[in-house]
Amino acid sequence: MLDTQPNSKTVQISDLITIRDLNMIYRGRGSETVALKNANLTVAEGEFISLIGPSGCGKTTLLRIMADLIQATSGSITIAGKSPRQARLDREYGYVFQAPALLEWRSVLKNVILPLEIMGFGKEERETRAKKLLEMVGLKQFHRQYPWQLSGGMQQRVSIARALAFDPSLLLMDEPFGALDEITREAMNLELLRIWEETKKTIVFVTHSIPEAVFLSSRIVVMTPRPGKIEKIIPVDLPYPRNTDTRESKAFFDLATEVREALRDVH
Amino acid sequence: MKPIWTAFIAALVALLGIGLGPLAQEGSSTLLGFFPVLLALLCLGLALIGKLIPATLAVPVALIGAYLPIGKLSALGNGSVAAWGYWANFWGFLLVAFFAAGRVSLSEADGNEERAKKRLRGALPPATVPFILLLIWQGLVIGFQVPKGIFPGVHHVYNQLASSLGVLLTDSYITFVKEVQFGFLIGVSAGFLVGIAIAYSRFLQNGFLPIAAAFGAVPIVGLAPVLGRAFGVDWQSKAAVVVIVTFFPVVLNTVQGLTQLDTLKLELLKAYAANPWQIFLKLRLPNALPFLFNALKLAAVLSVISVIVAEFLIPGPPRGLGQRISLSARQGAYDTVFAAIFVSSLISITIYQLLSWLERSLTGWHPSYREEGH
Repeated sequence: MLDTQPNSKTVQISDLITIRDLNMIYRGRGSETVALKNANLTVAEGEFISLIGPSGCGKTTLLRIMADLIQATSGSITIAGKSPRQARLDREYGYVFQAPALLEWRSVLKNVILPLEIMGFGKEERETRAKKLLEMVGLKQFHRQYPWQLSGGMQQRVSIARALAFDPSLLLMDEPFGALDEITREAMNLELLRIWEETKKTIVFVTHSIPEAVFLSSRIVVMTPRPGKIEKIIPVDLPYPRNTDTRESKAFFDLATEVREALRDVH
Repeated sequence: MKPIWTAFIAALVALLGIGLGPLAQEGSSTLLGFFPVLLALLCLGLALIGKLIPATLAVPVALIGAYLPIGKLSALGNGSVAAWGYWANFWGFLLVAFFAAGRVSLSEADGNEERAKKRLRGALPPATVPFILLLIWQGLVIGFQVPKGIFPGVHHVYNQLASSLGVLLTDSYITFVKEVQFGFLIGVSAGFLVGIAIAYSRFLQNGFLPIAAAFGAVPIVGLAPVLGRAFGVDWQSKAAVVVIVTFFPVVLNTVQGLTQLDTLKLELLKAYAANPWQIFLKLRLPNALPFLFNALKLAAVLSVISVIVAEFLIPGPPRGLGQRISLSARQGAYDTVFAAIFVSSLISITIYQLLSWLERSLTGWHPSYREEGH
């Protein structure tokens, strides 16, 4: 029922993530918190999916289960046909955290190289890839700098380049622009869309900003808290490539209103 | 810049002392002469101009000025205690140096100042303060004619240093190259390895860490006589003391550095399916470096102090700076005591600076260096 049709852009491609009756229950001192209740979701290859909702709705929990950073209490989930653990070990996804989480002792270039080092890429390929990605996120001339010398937005771009370094087919992003100001955030949104179109990645994007979700996504998963569950899935039929005009179109406002109402229903 | 009125007034006091004041209680000599008056007038002028370079110049001029009464009084050699002319002269010039150096270091840099001036601003106070302290020491000893057997003057210490340099260097070799170096290397590497073990073992973290933390408060040098019994009275027992005092701070800091991690970074490496060895090498170890250097610097200072005390407590063959101090003190040869303290301080400071330099070059990314690094 929650499994609405993928939109026209991705209809021909196979499923990358399948989630069935997923539950996550945190057991504390005599109390139980249901962080996620009976979640069902399918993400097709090449989709841009946003998980949106207020804090406590389980959107980050869901993302972290996909990444195998935590394990679900019950239910089934597969990433590229594998368990999350296997998908992690096979390096199927890149993860972008809320904070840039750059290593202070490494230069920008070395930070992007980090996953490649860990995964045993050759020295030359590491540099070529990292430099190409830094160019893509517009930070080519900053590769010698150290993280603290960059602004918050630039740091987050480095962390996106880092997540893409080993060319995973899936990108999991946990409120990556949450700490940025509105202006930087909109610029980053444009950039992310450009990267997405350029690289054909599948992106699962957690946010609590309605305009951001509408602007970026091919589908929006609206989640509500107590217990955290998927309330509604809204396909976004705005044509790509999207640009600043998209934000001013009527369709954009209608979709934003639809998301807002879906979020309001439960309150 | 405005005139340095404080230095101006101090220079006036010095001039007054030169012109009017008697130098000594007995014998009506004054310091009045061409050179002292010239220095005082120079200070007056430089204080009035007050700009960066004149203020800087005033410092050495005033320091020389402060030495003049000391030289004159000791040249008199009649054992007479100083009178007010001496003190006015002495303190006046010292205050000129103090205020002038203070002005240079505290003055606001104007934006497009050359590098050399900026460096001068930073270098002047540390270059001036030792001279001021030595002059105060010498000025008081000479001024009050303190006997050498109670508190030696700077010149006594210097003479002693020059005449017994060979002995002191042999002592330093025993104390630093044998005792401190061996003890430090063994203590630090053992502490580091044990720290790693604790960081990776929940059991040791719960069982051993609280004890290790408590040990930091134990005055371990008190164990020295016991260690002397166990390892013999030669250098080995003193090295053992160093091993113990360096061990615990290194353990504690290693554990902290390896475990106080940003959770996100740990999850990041987990998301890359990094193996434990990679997590250690690429995350935990670099993260621990600033902690480790803190421990090393602390351990260096602790080991010098404890080795000196240990030499007091374990009298063995009469070699080593600590033994030299204790033996000389017993004979009332305080000039030798100071000479030995001077040599050990010099070496200890050098070790500390070396460690700091190593720290800066290896952990230049750390927040505490960001301002300079930019």
